[in-house]
Amino acid sequence: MDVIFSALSLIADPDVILVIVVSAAFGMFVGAMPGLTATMAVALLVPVTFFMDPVPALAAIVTASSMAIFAGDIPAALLRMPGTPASAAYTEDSYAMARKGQLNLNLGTNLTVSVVGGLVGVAALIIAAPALAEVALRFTAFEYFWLAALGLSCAVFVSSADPLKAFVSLLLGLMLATVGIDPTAGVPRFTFGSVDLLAGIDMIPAMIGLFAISEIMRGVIRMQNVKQDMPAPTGPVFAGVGRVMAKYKVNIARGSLLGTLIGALPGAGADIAAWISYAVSKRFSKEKEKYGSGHIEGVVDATAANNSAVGGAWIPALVFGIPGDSITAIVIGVLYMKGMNPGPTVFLQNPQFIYAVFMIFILANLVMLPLGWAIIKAARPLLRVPRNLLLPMIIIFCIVGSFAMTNSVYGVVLMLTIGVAGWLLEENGFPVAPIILGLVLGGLFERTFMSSMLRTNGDLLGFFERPLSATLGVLTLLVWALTIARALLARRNAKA
Amino acid sequence: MRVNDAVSGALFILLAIGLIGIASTFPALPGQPYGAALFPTLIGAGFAICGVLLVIRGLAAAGREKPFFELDPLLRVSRNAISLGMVVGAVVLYILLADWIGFVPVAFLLLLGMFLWLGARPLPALVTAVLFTGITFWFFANVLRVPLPRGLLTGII
Repeated sequence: MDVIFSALSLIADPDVILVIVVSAAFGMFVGAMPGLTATMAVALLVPVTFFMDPVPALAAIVTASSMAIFAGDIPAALLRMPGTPASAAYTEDSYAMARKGQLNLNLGTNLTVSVVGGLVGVAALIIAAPALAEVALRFTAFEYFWLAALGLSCAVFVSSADPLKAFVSLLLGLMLATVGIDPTAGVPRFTFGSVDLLAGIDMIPAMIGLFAISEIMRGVIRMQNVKQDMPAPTGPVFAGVGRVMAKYKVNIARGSLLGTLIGALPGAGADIAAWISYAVSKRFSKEKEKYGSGHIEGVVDATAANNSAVGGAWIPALVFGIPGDSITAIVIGVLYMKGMNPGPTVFLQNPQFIYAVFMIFILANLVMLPLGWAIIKAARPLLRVPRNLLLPMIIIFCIVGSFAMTNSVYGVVLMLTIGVAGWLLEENGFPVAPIILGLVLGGLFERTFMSSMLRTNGDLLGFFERPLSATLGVLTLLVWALTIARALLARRNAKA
Repeated sequence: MRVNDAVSGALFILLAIGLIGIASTFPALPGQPYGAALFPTLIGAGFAICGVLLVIRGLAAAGREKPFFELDPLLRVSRNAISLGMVVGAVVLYILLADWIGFVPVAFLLLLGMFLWLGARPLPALVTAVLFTGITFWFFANVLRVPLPRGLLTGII
């Protein structure tokens, strides 16, 4: 109980509440802008959180990411453009509903179900994280090695259409992680005589480059100010939502649980959760033919799933320090910056922080209801914010944010280099999310690999000697085997 | 800018060679079989294997659907190409000029230039550039105490 009270006192601070409200508004805005993603919202927020205490810093990230995922639904219905990739799965349905005069029914349902989904994700986090942390306490370097390997493998194979290219991206991330002083011998590697590189590649400028600069480079040539007519609002926002929720309560439960699970899977986040839930919903629906033409059922599943994935992704991040998606990859970076190395020991040493995170999650989801209502009301003028003013401002913000992380122009150089590289890679079908996972996990992966190698004298079988490590190792190898089998099968089908 | 997989594959093979080459110069730890070079060498090996696979795939597809080099059709419109160059150029200009001239004038001029190029009307562009530069500088330099370069305005702001 003491822990809960000290956690309460950590978040009952007016500063923390202010941070939650401001970052909620920020997340809503960025999420609602087509082309600006939830990851970008978080990446742009981090330089500011750098100067905060741990609890408000985490509060800002949790709130902004939850809001952005919901807010992505708004332009989907109004403009037929998903605000974030997580809303792409049901954009057609949302827009068709809006055209049929059910705009507010769609947005009201999206909002309410997002809140429910978000809360389910948090509940799973609260239940699963401490239990898993107990197991994780028994982990040695072998288990952490396999865990990192499993996380990286999932990032490559579960979430990508082209595993080969995703694997190359992952290698690029791991390569970037080797820059700087090596963890076992203290030798400087790939620094080319630069003092800045000696400290390694700073994650946050890299992140801003990959998820903001390259996004802007793509956006600036497709830039158009919104001129099209938006469907008219119809009646109060929450009218009829209760009936929809009662009718599709099974869908809400299914979407939320599926979303939490997919979110918790390393490497897969809210967007994949939404796609899979939408597909599952259609598969089991009695009215399959209506999907895609303005039917609310699939929307309910998917919108519950993408918000529950936000909470689910925090489970492996907090317990093992293995990110569930690119947002939690940033979170792990922030935790390290704050000296709270993620992993089971945080649960022992700083349980009040963990409980504070849980409470912020609940609070953020509750705040979403009134703020979401407000943003639905304000959506029209907001979506007309001119692009030609917005993009240059984001560029300046990226520059200042990267500068602030290193207090020198080195951060800006890093951001630009990695941003341009990210743009080139993405143009050529190499996904960028594995790069950031490789960069974040690279250190842990190499450290545990080296200490395991030294302990077994290079005998790879030694990696399977402990029952826990053997289980994780076999799981990792299974992921690889399945992927290779899938690739070979796809090839044979293509030839036939 | 899209290249055939064979080209990117070849580039990754070159990267692998460079990586392994540099890693081989890392000093080994006395008395220990594995040192700082092991992990980068493994990554290099990974790049080499993937590079070869990409080359094979790219060559197989080269005759049929994919040319070796292809420009995004949107980039053939010179206005778009310049916009893209502008994003990169703005950051480069900031890197080159900020320490000398200072954050405030550089950010203001970059913003104004980009606004006008992207077709904003002059008055809103000017007002937004002034406000955004001012607020950003105030927030980061004064509230968060980030040492944004003051350049020519040192002592004035």
